[in-house]
Amino acid sequence: MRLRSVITAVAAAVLLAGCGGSTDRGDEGSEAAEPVVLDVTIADGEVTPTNDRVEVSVGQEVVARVTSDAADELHVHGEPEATWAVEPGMEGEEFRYTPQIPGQIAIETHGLHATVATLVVTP
Amino acid sequence: MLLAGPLATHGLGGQTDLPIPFPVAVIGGAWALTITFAVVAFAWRRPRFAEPVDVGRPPAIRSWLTVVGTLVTVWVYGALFLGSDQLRAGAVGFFYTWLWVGLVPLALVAGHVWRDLSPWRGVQRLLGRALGRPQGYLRYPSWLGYWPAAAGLLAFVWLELCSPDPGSTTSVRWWLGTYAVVTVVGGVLFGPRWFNRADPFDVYSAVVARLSPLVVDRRWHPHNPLRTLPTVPLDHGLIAIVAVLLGSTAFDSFGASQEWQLREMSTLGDTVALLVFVLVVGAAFVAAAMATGGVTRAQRRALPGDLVHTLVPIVVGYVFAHYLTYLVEKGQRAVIDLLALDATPSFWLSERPMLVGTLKVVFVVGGHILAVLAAHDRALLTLPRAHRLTGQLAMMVLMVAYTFMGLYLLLSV
Repeated sequence: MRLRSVITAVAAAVLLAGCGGSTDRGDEGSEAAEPVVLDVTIADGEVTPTNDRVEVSVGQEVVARVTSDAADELHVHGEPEATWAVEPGMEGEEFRYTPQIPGQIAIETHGLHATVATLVVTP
Repeated sequence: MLLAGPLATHGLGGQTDLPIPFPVAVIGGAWALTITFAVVAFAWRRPRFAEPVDVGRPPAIRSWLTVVGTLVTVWVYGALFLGSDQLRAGAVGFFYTWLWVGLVPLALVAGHVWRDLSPWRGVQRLLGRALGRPQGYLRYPSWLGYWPAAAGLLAFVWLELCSPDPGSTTSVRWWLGTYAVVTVVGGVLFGPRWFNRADPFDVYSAVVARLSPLVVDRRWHPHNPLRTLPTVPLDHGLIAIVAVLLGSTAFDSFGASQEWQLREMSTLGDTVALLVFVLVVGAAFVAAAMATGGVTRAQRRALPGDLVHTLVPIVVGYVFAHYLTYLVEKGQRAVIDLLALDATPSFWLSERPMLVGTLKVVFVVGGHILAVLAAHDRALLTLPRAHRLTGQLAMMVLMVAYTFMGLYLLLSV
């Protein structure tokens, strides 16, 4: 019997802790927020930025402005996936992606094997 | 369509979960564990889970399940080696989701049905009968223990986390092709014992099945899983199995963190890092288990083996925390692709990050609490009376450290 009460107490503590945390929610209603712009430059075999973190909301458009001196491919590892073909001589070419589902979406260059940015998509 | 990204984690590319947004819950969870340890130390002083659940002889192999398992396996191998782009993607997805992760909930709900489902055991039975050697040609060497299975699991996590292109059809073809050959040859040579000790998935399923609250020895029998957990068959290499499973999960979480992604790691560097994680997890457990007074040398050496089953709930908790959305959502995609359908998976879970986050914390903390209960019960049985409490202290410190670390990783990644 004592075991059962121990387990109940622990479960209650965990649940309480869980509830305590769940009260702080992100600001909502940013559905039709302005697009987020991400400038990507590929030059001399290097990409900038790398491992950037970009906060966006579901439904908020992300515009990548790509400048490049080489051919490459940018992969957006989200749902759905997207692939952007990068060509040499691009100057601020715009690619658009609208995240549909909360989570983290990595944008990676296929050629240079680097993560450009991670979109942190909140509901 | 699965795109193999250069840094794709878990073998499959695609979206990953948000970091857990509530540090409060994490800290609360870690405290809950600490308090459990303190309370449990005084709550019961006589082993409660030592008596095994007896359900008689295990049932014979259910052949219809072997037929089901064989059909699924033939379909997946066919898709992988002969299929279209979509079918191949489905086979790769199946390998990383249903085979690797789905095995755990299956064993929890249905016990070790893997033994019935396994097409490799089926092939061995047929070939063994045809060759007149149902028990194989050689005796499985007892010193080998679970080591081949541990090596197989390590090979899997290496492919998933360290290899240059885990999501590619070629990688998975090599892995699954080698696995099929090794498993069939091993089975024919050594008989059914091979599957009990050397087949990584079979062993993984058998170990997790001991935590099933519903099934004992492949027979429906609801019970307290802490009573069947200590019956995990102990043999050489069992600690290595658990260390690979836990160490790789920790490595994976670290690997996904931003700090880690910032350093450019080669395949070799990743491999070394993975091995270090596995060794540290294993060594820390062995040291903590041995740290007690009042035992002889021989008894001390037996202690890690006596306690290793207590890590199984932790493994299961991390698997669920780590792969929940992955299994449910990428798993749907794998099935859609394997059946060559044109459908969209449901993202019901991912659309509820709060629920996912809460479940993750509950799984990690729940796994650790079960581990603490199991370890306390076993300590009462094995530790000398005078050292029952102090002998558990090192293990308590280790488990609290694991929890904090595990939750910290979930929080930050």
